[in-house]
Amino acid sequence: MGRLLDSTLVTFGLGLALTGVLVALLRWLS
Amino acid sequence: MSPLLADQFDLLMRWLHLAAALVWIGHNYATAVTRSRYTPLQASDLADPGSPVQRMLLQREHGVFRYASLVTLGCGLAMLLRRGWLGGALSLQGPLAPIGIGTWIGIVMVLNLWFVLWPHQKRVLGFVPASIEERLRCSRVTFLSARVNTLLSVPLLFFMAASSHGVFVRG
Repeated sequence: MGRLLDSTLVTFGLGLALTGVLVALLRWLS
Repeated sequence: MSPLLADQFDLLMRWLHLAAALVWIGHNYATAVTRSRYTPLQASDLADPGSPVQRMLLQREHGVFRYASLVTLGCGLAMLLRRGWLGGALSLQGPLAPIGIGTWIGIVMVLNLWFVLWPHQKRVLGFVPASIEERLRCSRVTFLSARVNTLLSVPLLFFMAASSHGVFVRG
């Protein structure tokens, strides 16, 4: 994880992926 | 509070929330863009307090963004509290779930900034005495801590925007 965050582009990509996971989780729970 | 005054208060809170968030996350993004990859500090940079690298680090340390983070969170919580939504948001109730997720992410980011990044940064800058090795290790932690907040800002901004369109997110 630490190495991945060394790149800004990857950081934003991970942020988008996390957004998708949270949206999916929210839709699944509601 | 009269309805007009309440509206004016809400507008002020909303404006301060956005302005302070721009100051805080603007600092974070600026660093992420200008230092796109992690470049380790060298022991020689830290050994000499007058070294160009150390002077550069000290110039960047002005604390404004740390306090902006508190204004951002405080105004956000105040807006939720005034509407009577704070409890529902924090417990992710119904249509308040999207803004609730954003609130929790924001709380984590403020805690990360004040209790992970800042204590380590104080060692890097020499505000708290530490060995050169310890300061070099801390500089890596501050980098990762800042990047975690960059990462978390993406879903936070999405859920803040989605809070007015919660039906879409909740399906």
